[in-house]
Amino acid sequence: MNIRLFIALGLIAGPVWAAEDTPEELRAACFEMSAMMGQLAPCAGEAAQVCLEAKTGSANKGASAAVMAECFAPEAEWWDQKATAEYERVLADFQKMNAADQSEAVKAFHAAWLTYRDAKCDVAIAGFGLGAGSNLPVIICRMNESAEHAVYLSVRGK
Amino acid sequence: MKRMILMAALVAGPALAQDDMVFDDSIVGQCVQAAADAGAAEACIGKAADDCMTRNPGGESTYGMNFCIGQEAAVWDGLLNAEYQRVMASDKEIDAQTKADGYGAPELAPALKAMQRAWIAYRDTTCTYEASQWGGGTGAGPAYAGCMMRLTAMQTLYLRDTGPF
Repeated sequence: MNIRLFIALGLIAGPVWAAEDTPEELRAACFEMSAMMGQLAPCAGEAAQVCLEAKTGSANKGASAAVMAECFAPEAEWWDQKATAEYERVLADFQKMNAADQSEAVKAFHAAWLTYRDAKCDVAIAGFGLGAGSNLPVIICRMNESAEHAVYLSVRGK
Repeated sequence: MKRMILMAALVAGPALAQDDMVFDDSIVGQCVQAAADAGAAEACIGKAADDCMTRNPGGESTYGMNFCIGQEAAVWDGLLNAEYQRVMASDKEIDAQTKADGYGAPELAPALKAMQRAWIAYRDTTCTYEASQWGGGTGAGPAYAGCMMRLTAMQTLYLRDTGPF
């Protein structure tokens, strides 16, 4: 076998083998495991770590804030959508049962949560200074808060 | 006369029970102090209420649970207020310094205030939601009280982890 081809394949296969699961699969597994445990497992952000390793060779070294934001933004987005989907599922269930009190309660709760999440994540960026270069703290804050809310709804919404 | 005594007993009953119930308000503070990190401190939530429910006769009745959980929630509320004041004082100092230095950084104190205000609405709607899942059942009261205690404690620990240390 051509040694160069071998190395090239090895390089390509390396991260894929290390990651094994796609980011989508990692996040879904995290959600399911958390729902089973009844609380958010410490796995939110795992797919972002794999993404960082693929980009820099190490999750903890040499990644600029911009590169980190590139990896964490899709994960924050995924959990945000998961939280919305869980909310819609819970609300639809209550509506199907004609449970008006619960429907109104979960609507008010979800709206207040959204306001609270954004206010809390604003605290994460306050004091950093304009032009600090990245809103990475906000992205990570939103990822964590959304993940917690999605898992909460899945556990308490049954 | 007999009827009057009976009536008096009925009226005094709950008041007497509450006066007789013991709640150790040092448990929360001691537990949090001894906790090595935020995760360990989370395990403190509910300990004082559990102790109260166990040591008092009738502590595990709906009435007893409401009393014990309410007492612990009040302790956390005091701690939360102290943590909020601490972080607010520090944020105002940092804001003044930042302004003096001429940085255009967004201010910390208004962001903290907005967050805490949003948290109160989040706490109330969360606990109303949790209580609503009990329908009209007797569990709704303790569920609401337990939720208030848990969320107040969590917010205290979150602010406690916010600098300066």
